[in-house]
Amino acid sequence: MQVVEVDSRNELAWMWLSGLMDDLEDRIIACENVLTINPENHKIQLYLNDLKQSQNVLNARAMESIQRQPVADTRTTKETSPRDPLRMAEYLEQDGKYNEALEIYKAEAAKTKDVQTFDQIYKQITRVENAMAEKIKYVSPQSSILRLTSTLPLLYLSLALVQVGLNPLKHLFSYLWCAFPLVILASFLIAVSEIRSRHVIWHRVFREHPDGSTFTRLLVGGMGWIMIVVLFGLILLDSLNRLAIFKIPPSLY
Amino acid sequence: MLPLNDTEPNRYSFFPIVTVLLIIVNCFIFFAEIFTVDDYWVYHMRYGTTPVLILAMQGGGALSNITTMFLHGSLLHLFGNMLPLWVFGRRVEDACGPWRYLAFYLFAGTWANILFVLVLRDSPIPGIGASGAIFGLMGAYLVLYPSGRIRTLVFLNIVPLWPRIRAFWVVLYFLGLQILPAIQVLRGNGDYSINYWAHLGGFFSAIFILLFLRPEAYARYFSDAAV
Repeated sequence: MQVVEVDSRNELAWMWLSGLMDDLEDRIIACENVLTINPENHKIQLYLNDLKQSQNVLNARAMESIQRQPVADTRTTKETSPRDPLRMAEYLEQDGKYNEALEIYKAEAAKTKDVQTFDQIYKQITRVENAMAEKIKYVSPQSSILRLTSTLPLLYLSLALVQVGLNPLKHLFSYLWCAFPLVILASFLIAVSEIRSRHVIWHRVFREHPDGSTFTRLLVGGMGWIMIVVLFGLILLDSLNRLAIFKIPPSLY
Repeated sequence: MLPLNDTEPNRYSFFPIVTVLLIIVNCFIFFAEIFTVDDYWVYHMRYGTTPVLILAMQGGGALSNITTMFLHGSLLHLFGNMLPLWVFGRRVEDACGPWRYLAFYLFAGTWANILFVLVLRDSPIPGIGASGAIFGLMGAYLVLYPSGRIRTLVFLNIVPLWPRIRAFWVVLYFLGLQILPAIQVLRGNGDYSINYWAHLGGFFSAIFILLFLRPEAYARYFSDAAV
């Protein structure tokens, strides 16, 4: 390395480095430098071809694992640049392929020269390694979204039940029940914006990359919350109206 | 037996913001009540859960169902509820995340009131207190951390001891205290000053706690790892 720093046109030094470097991309760069200095070096040319082939295989593997996703997701992978390995690792992790994700994270950590980026990747590595050590079971983002979507409608149903005097059959056409599908929708928007994963909504509706940008997630989450506040606010308003005209029956004194 | 503290640390968050806020709001409302309310009966009728009024769709309905969780009859009542709210609420909030924890708290309180209203349909006595929701938290704690350890104050004759007791013993002890009186209430010869059926309603609403968990905690729950 020191020789190269002193004399950047030292062919032999670059050849040594092309064999010593850990990272595939660094090896390729070293080979290319050798060929820049001496384009007649056929051995290095062959070695470079091999390295490039290995790189293609690795990229293809990563792409293949992404393309194995359900139909809704595969449409969005076109926008995923294979040159963004961290995002690729994130996707693999979301699919429960911890080993493959870990490999990419480690490769990226070894490659990066920026301390902050390294720290971020290192945190991901630690997190994934801990999850693997504890044998944390994989739960798909879809099932998490479904599960979390059910919470606010459950609360809404309970409150609506109290509001109609625990007799929903007598008040089948109350506006409270009409608002229920909207509560489900709002709760879904909140859940989908909360869980960082690929979802068709980001690509189809917002024309964004498969897991949506932070801004769009905030927008969707905000929309969900506004709807929830309005819908729960309706029950509250109804209650306040009832309370305003409420007089304690003399029999209860 | 008085639970004093949960000895295990948080995993996902540093500070149980909603638990602390709930305690502050409950205390604030209690002391505000002392200085502003003249007629407690009327006040509790309006903002508490009165079965006959709920069923007749009179009064605040869903709003009263929520406000009742913030009303307390005495300082002892308040203390008796806020202490277990802190003990059992902190780690349940940690596993759910703040706003889903609040949603679960309100959900448990609502089902506590629903069971109370269904069982004592003709009762004109308003039910007040956070205990139904807190029993929900105790049930949730039992589901999530059965082997957690609770620092508990117990008296051996007059000697105070504070051992760390497994959570399932503590929670099952408090659940056990509710069952017989609840049956007596059902038979019409019980103690109506304590809302036993609301406690049971809140406790059994905890079967839904898994829906409210944050994804990491949910994955850990099904991996035999500590939530």
